[in-house]
Amino acid sequence: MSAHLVLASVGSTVGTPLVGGIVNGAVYGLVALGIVLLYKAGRIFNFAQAEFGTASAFVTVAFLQGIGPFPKVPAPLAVVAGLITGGLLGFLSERLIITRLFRAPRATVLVATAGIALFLISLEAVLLGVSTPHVFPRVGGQSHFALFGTLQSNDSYKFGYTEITMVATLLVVAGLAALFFRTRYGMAILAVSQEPTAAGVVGINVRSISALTWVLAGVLGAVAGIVNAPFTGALTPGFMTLNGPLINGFIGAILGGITSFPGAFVGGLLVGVVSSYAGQYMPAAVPGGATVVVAALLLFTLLVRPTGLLGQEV
Amino acid sequence: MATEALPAVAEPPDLGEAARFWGPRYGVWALIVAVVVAVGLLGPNAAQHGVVAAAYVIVGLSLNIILGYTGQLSLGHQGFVGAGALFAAYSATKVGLPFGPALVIGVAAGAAFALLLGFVALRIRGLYLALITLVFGLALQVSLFQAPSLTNGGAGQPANRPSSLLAPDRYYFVCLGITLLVMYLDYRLTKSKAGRAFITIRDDERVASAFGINVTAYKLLAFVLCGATAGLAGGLLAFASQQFNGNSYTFQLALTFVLMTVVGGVGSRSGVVVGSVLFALLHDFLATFHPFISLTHVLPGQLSTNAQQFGPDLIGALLLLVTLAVNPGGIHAGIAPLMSWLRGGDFTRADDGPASHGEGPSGRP
Repeated sequence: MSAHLVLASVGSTVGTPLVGGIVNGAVYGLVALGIVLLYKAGRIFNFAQAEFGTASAFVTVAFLQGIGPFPKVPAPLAVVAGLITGGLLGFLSERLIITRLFRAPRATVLVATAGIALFLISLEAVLLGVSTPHVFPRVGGQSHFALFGTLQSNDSYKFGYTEITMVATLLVVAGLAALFFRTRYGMAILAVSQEPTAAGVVGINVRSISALTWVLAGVLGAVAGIVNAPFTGALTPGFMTLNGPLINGFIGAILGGITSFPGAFVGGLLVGVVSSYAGQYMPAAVPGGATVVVAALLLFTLLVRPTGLLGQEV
Repeated sequence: MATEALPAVAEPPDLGEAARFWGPRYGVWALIVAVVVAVGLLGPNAAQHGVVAAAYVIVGLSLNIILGYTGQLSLGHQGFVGAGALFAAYSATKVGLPFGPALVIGVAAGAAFALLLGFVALRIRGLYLALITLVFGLALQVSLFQAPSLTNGGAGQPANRPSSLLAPDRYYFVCLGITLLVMYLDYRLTKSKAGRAFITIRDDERVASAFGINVTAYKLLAFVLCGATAGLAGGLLAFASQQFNGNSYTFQLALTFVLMTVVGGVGSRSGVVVGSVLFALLHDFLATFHPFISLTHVLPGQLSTNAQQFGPDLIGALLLLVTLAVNPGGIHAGIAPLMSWLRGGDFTRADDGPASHGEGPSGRP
C-alpha cells in the first residue's frame, strides 16, 4: 500500500532513486526468497513471511537497547537472537497451524498464514503500543548503524550499509541455491514437494523436512526484517507487512517466476528500483504512481511471459 | 450472529414419513427473526452496527460466488467494495442522484472494475489470480481512492442519506431487506444453469469445457457478479457512514473479507453469513465488553492501555487460528447439524458439507 511512502523516507536520505531502489529491492528480494522457498516446498503462499521479519527486528531492538525484560547485549548477539526468533516463529507456525491443514484447500492455508501475520501484528501492538515508536539504534551518534563496524559520518553510512545489505542478500541467495542444488536436504525438499508419499517411502522424513523448511523461511524473514529495520527508522507493529515489503516481495517473487531463487531476488530488486524511479518521476497529480507502475509491470510481465522472468514450472 | 439461519435455505428435504416435530424448529426460527428485527429497535448504535454487519454479509456472499462456486480467490475486494462506495457517494453528492440510483451506480462500478480485471486476469489461474487481484485492489486503493477530484480533495466524498432514511433503524431495515434479497438471488443462482456451470468449472475446468461449458465466459460472469455484489455492499457502507473515505478501504480490509468467508466455511451460505456477522461485530463487541475491559486493568501500566486498544484484534486473530487449526471446515462444520435440523432433518445428520473449493489439497508435505 505504501511503497511510495517507504521510498519517500529512504529517498530523502539516500542520494539517488537508484540507490534507494536497490536498498528497498534487496529487502523485497529477501522476502521474495522466503516466499519462493515455501512455494517450492509445499505450494504455499505465506502471507506471514514479512511478519517473521518484523517480530525478529523487534526482538533484535529489544536486545540492543535492553528494553523491558531483555538484557542489553552486543549487536552480533542481538542479531543472532533475532534470527533465532525468526526460525522459532517459522517452526511454531508449521507445527501448530500448517500441519493441521494438510488436506485443506489452498485458500484455507493462505488464510491461515494471513491469520498468523495478523496475530503477530496485534501481539506486537499490545506489547509495544503504537504511541512510542521504537527506533532501531545505530551505534555512533544515534544515527548510525555500525553493526558491521563500517560507518563514520552521516553521509557515508547509508552507502556503506547499502553495500552490506547487497552482500548479505547475495550471500543468502547463493547459500540457498547451494543448499537446494548441492545438498541432500535440498533434494529432499524438492522430492517432498513433488510427491510426499513417495518421498516417505524412499526414507525421507517428511515431517521434519517440512518443519526445517519453515525454520529456514523464518530465518530468511528475520534477515529481511533486520536488514530493513535501520532504513525504516521508527519501527511500528507490522512495518514489514503493512508498509510494502510483503506485497512487493510477492510481486518480486512472481515477476521472477515463483519457483526460482535467482528470479525472486532479481524480481525483488526490479520492483524496488522501478517503484523508486516511478515515485521520483511520476507526476505528483497521480496519487500512488509508484504502485500503479509496479502493478502494470506485473500484469504486463504475466501477459507476455506467464512463467515469470526466470521461472520454469508454473 | 442473529442472521445465521436466514439464508434462503432449500426446502426441507423430504424424509418420507419420518416423524418431524416442527414446533421447536418454528420456535428457533422465530427467535432468530426476533433477534434480527430487535437489532433495528435497540437504538441507533445497534442499528448502525447492524447496517455494517448486513454490508459485510453481502461482501461475504460476493466472495463466496468467486471462491466457493468457481474456486478463485480474490484478495482485492477492498477495490470492488471501495469503488462501489466511491461512485455511489460521488453520484449522490456531485451528480445529485437519489439513494436508489446512486446505489445502482455503485453496483455498476463494482461490476465494471470486475469486468476490466476479468479480461486481463482470467487467463491466469489459482493463486496467481489471487495475487493479481491483490495488486489490482492495491492499485485502486492508492490511486483512484485518493484522487482529489473524486474524493473532495482527499477530505472524503460525502454521501448523505435521504431524510426518509436518515434514522439508523430505518436504514438498517432497508439494508436488511437488500441483504435478504441478495441471499435469495444467490440461492437462485446456485440452482440455475450458470450456478451449475460454476461448480463444474470449480471441480475441473477441462471436464467442464468438454461438456460444452464456455469456461472463460462463465468465469467472467462469476467475476462480474462478484464485483457487482461487492459494489452494492460498498454503496451501503458509504451511505452508512454518510461518507466515502479512501483510507477505509485498505488491504487489511480485503484480508478481513477473505478471513470471514473462509472461517465461515467456503461454499456454505449459512456459514459465510455467520462468519461475516462475527467479523463485522467482534471488534466493537469486545472493545465495549465489560469483563474484557476489567481484565485489561489487571495488566500493568502502558500494557493495559495497549491491551484495551489492540486486544480485540489479538483475540480475533487467535479465534481465527484456533478455528482453522481445530476445524479447517470453519464455522459451517460447527453449525451444520443445527442448520440441518432447522430445515427439518435430524440434528446429527451431517449436511452435504461445504463444497471443497477447487484446487484440491494444498499438496504440502
